[in-house]
Amino acid sequence: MTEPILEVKNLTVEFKLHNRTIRAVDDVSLTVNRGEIVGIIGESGSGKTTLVSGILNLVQSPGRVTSGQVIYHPKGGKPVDLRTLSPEEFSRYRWTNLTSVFQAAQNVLNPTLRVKEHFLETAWAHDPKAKEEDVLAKARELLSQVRLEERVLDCYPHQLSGGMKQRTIIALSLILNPDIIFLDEPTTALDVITQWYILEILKRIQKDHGLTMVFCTHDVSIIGSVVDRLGVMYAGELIEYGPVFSMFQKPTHPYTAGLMTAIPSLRDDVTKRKAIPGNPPDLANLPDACRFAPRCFAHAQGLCEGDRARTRQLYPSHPEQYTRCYSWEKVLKK
Amino acid sequence: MPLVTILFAIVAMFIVIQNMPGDPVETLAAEISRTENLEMELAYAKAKSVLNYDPDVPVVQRLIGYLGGILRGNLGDSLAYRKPVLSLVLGALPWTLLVLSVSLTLSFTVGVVAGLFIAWKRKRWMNALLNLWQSIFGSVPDYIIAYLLIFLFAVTLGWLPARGPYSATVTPGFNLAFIGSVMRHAILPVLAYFLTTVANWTIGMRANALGSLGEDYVAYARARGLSQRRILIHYVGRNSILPMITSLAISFGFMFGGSPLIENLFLYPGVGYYLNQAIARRDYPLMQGMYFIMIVVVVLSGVLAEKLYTVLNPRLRER
Amino acid sequence: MKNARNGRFAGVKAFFSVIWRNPMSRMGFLILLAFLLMAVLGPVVIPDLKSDYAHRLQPPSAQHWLGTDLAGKDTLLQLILGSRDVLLVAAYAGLFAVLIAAAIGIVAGLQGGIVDRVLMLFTDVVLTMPSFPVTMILSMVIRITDPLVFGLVLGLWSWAGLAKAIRSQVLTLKHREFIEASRIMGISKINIILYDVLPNLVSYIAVNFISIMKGAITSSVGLMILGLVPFQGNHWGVMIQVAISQTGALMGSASMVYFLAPVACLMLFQLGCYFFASGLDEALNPRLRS
Repeated sequence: MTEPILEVKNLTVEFKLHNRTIRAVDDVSLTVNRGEIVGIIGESGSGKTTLVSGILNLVQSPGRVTSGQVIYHPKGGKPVDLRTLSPEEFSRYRWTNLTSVFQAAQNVLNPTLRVKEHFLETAWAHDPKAKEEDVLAKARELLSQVRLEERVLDCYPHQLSGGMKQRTIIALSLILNPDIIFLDEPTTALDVITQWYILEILKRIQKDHGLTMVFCTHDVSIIGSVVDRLGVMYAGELIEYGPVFSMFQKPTHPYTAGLMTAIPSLRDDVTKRKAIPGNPPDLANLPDACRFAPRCFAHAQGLCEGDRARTRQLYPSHPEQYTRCYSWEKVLKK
Repeated sequence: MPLVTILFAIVAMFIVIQNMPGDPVETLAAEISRTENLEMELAYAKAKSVLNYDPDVPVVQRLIGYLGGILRGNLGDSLAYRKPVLSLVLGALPWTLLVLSVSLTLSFTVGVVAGLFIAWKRKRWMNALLNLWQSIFGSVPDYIIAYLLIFLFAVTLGWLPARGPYSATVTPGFNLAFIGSVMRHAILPVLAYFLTTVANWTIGMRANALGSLGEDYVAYARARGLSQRRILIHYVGRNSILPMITSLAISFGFMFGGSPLIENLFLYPGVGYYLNQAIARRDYPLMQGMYFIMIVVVVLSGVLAEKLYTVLNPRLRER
Repeated sequence: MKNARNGRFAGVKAFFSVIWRNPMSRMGFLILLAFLLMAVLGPVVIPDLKSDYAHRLQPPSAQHWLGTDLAGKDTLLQLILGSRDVLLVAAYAGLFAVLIAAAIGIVAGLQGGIVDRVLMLFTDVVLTMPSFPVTMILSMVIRITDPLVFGLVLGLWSWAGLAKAIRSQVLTLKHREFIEASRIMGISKINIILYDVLPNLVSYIAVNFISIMKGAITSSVGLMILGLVPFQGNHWGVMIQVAISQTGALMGSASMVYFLAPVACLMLFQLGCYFFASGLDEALNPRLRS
């Protein structure tokens, strides 16, 4: 049974810089179902992190969410459009329902507080009457689920390695039994073995807790082992969305096709890999055409004009799969 | 390291003072022979013992003698006041420490809170006001400010006393009248220090806090729904204050350095005041003694600040 | 290689354009320039001040814009004449301090090893000793008769902080390519110092020179108020000291002008130094621009 847990509709996030307006997230709509793992991939600057910040109302100035709806369906509760909430009302949903896991490389833990104080303050921010012992017991339990020892609680952040910090914040994200976790590059900046280790942990936690996860990453090879459905972002737009295997085998957008061709794998012949030509788009100077046109092989070969107006909507391609490329049948159908 | 500093300072001062123009022994001897009607030779011997100073003995030996004296608690006798230097030092030190510690505490506390507040609110007028304050009070020397304060509050308005550590009418002791008088007399000196230093702390804290606000741990704290208050105090505040602790010691030393002028103006019997008197009257033992205690306090406060920083900074605690 | 050495004066030229572009440093520069002109041209343009006891301690009037002093001399003219001494003393102090700081900082930074350790130990000790009391005592030992000596005494204890900073700058520069290149080419140490290191330090030293000047003036006025410096002349510090002790500026509004005038002048000059130094600091350090 698939019931939606989060519906994002026409979300737009704009940044005003030097009298120019940049749309880091441009009219993105997607639905996440309860219990599934959604992956969002794209190059740096494609807007995936901003999308998550926009959903969670954490966009920092000079950025602003300018339009759209973010409808959250709590379990057994009424759906609520998070964008209509005031900051205080929103913070009630923070961590109790929606949590986030940032990159380990980032400096997300307070250098002057011990790990246990992070757990306690988070719990107390939402329930001032929570008992310290209960919170710490739960924390120990969660830490063991991410294969960390109890003594981590008494440590300061600088005493933990990158992998340990990442596991700590994963545990921290679960402290209030949330519904949905947003993970932003949770494995980047870690060595490959730790990456695999953490992914295994995440998979197990998801199954044990019945969580919904939204994964943002630019590492395509990781997505394949964890994700149910995949969204691809380019230049602030969602350009393709669908079940992950279908997207791997039958991509219906030139960019997705390019990404899949570019991934090396252990079994492959590397010479068969082809990078996508060209540079990532400059969001301040976008062409008045299909956003991908400058790098699209079809456009280069004259198979598609790259008409901007027609790229303003998504077209269904394969079952449960949607694409922004209106010429996909002509260009990609095999 | 701190001991080296103290040692070097004492040695340097000793050498400088010993090389001052004029022979203090001769001067004193002349005075003794005149007032006590002694022959020059006897007067000279007496002068030597009073001063604990024999110009015929080589400098190094004198130095060692002086250092030895220090270890035994003997700093010589003051020429002008005819009392052991040590007693004068111990009598003056509390006054200076009182004014300086109150000023520094006040200035630091207000500065830190104000800096945090201004960084958080990001209002243009606040920053402008701060910069204006710093421009004015940073450009006028603190003794001039003190002078203007005296003129305004003591002479013109008559609200606060202008001179002395406490009123002549109260008896020293642990009574309310005395303590009240001491506090009243301390207000203007403290105010002078405060006005000139508070902007520095505010600006420093503002800079640290602005940096802190942009850090990832603040964003993550917000993501977890922590309250503004919690973030401001425990995230921004804690991380911003740490670098400023070491400045405390430097500041203390700096204020000590400025004390001769302020204490002179207020006729406040602290270390700076006596140092000034000693220099004016060529009272070498007193000069050396006051200078010695100044160095010791400055160096000690440096050591203390370092210790404090080590305790407060989690990264250093585990050693 | 050649480009690296040709670029050595680019730093200096860029420095002047930076001063002009930043509004705060530009204002500070103009204020200081105004004082400089006053100091240089004043004594040339203004004839000797005449004492006029009949008109002592007058309040400001059309004839005497800032009133007159204890001896009937015009206050404003005194200020202008005094600026020369003020600037000279400050400049000498800054000069000596910078020279000592640069010498110690550069040598310690370039040489490294035991030389560095000893010099830094020495610097740390000097840094810990509170400078004003030391200067007080020094002013007793060294008879201060002219601005040069005064500047020397003031500068003697002001170099420590700058020396440390110069040393760390040198340490970062030491490993930059163009110095490595010079060393490989076998250019002598002195040459390296003069042509590779110094131009990069110019802006940094300029900022500190002004700050040291500012501090020296405060100290010099302080010393004069305490009566420790037998300095004659129209130095503002002397005017202030006379105002406090002799005219009893605590009473009477006319005397207050005689006190406030040099104080205001002093404040203006210090403001100029402050604006110039921090404007420059801001311009050179982009992260400070909020």
